[in-house]
Amino acid sequence: MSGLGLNHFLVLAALLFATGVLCVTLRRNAIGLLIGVELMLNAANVNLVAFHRWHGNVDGAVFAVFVIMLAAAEAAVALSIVLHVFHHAASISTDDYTEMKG
Amino acid sequence: MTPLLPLLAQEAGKLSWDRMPSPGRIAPELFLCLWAVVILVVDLVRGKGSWKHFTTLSLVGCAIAFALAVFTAPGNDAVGYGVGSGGVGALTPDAISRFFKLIFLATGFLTVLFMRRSADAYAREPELHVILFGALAGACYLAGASELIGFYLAFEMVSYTGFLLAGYRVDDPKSAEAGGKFVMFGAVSSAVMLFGLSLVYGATGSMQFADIAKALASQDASPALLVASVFVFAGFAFKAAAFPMQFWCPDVYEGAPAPVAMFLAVASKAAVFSAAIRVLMLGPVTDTAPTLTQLLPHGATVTQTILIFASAATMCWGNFAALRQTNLQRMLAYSSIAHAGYLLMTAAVVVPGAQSGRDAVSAMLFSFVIYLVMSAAAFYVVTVMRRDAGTAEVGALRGFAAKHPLFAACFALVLFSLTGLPPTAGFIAKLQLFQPVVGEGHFVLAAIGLLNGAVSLYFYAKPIGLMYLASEGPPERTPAPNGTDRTILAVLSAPLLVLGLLWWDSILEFAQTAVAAGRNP
Repeated sequence: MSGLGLNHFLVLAALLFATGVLCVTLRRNAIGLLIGVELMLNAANVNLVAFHRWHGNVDGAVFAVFVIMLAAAEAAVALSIVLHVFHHAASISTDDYTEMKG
Repeated sequence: MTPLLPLLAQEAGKLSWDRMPSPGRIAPELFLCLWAVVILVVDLVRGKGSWKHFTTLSLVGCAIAFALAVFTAPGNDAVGYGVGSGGVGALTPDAISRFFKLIFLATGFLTVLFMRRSADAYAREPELHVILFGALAGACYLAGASELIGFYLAFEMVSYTGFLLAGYRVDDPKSAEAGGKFVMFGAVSSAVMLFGLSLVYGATGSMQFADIAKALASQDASPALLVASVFVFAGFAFKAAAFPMQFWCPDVYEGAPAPVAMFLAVASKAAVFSAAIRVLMLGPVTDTAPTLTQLLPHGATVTQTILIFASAATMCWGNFAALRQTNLQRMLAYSSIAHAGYLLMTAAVVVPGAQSGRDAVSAMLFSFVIYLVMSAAAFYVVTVMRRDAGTAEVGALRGFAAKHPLFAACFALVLFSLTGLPPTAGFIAKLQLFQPVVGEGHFVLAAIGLLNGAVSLYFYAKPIGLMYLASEGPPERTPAPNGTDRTILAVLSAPLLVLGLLWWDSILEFAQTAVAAGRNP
């Protein structure tokens, strides 16, 4: 562990989070957007686990396990809804979801 | 740094039955989860029974959960893992959370009732009721959460079920689009909030709200904490449909089935406010919960400034954008945004620990009760419109008062109450919300609020004008409420007049008692 400290993990998490945000804002594809969300959730997980080691209490690791579970649930819910939308719009591009405006 | 496994073993050693006392104190939540399973099992074994049995089963479930919430004694100690270390734990079912639970469960009951009355295809699916019970259980947990993991899990439980409910009309492209937009914006905002929470944990080393507050009080502001508080605010603002995270709300409420839109507008919003009130009002250093004030570097003023601007922008956006709406359901979505603005306005002047802060919180609780009744009545009219006329366009109400005078009069009363005109209960609710704002000397904010009230009269008056002044439209495009519809609407709108004139103070007293007895006001 020498030379590898808390800050390295925090920088990694921040970069991962930034990548996720970029992915969410730039992608015009519903699946791509959800992948971006996964990156953001996992950035938070890296933070939580790094802080768990740093503080020496178990809370961060437990939270990370719960987040992994939640991410799975979220993917199931989100993908089923995207499939449902695709059924009507025949497209997964978020630009085509424009039935309602104003 | 300690390895994970010994830590886990050490923590697991603390778990024992003595440390998991009194599951009875979370009886409503446990019952809701159980009832969801019961509905699923009944669906498996029922054969070809009528779909109405399910709605009856759900209605009974909501009623039992409501009774359980009434009779479960609230208390300020935590329930669950971690109990004993100074009365903290994952859940603290106190008097405030009980007040919110009653609101959620009443909303759930009305949602199921409206689904039954809509007789639409989506309402015949038992899974819909299972999801609804999940949402109710999540909202009840959220109202009592006193620890980050439990808080986030409950928050997501309300969110995910909301996504599914909004997109439940399989035959309707608008409903699909509503679900799609809701899930995408919702997933992003909750991921942002989670990152903020991870930074809060990093800065404080604890998940318990109480310990977080203590840790934050003893350290200086840092950029990480600023980022954390902005991210957490974004998560809250999204669920509350507050500016600048309000853009999803009209589309989702318009596309969702009308009863579901009502559920999202009342229960889902009340759930996020129940958590926000905990974070906001709860007091200075020594008290047992963190405040946004402490999360932000420059203390109270920054939080207050953010909330004041957010509230002013939210109500202006909601009211002015509502002016040009012709779809009643969409108009009600903007109206719910405007109401979130009024609530934020009162939230902005909550002074932690002070009596005025307590009064502001009781005013918010009180106005939620009134808002529940008003919204339910208004969305019931939309439900009837969509059932009979197949549309929520205001034009369908043309000349409606001539044929259905009672129904039209009740709806007009509801719209007056939403505007906040005396002698309706909506007026009392607005008055209560404005009082703390004026009391704390925020005259400009109060003036903006009043101006918004005046603007809202224009769009709320639109349906009334059409019902009473316009000539009748074609009968097949006009809603035709029957006796049951009239009874339901009359029962929902009568309290608006009665409470506006007579017994509103007993509800307000109930709210004040809850706030005074609640955890750490």
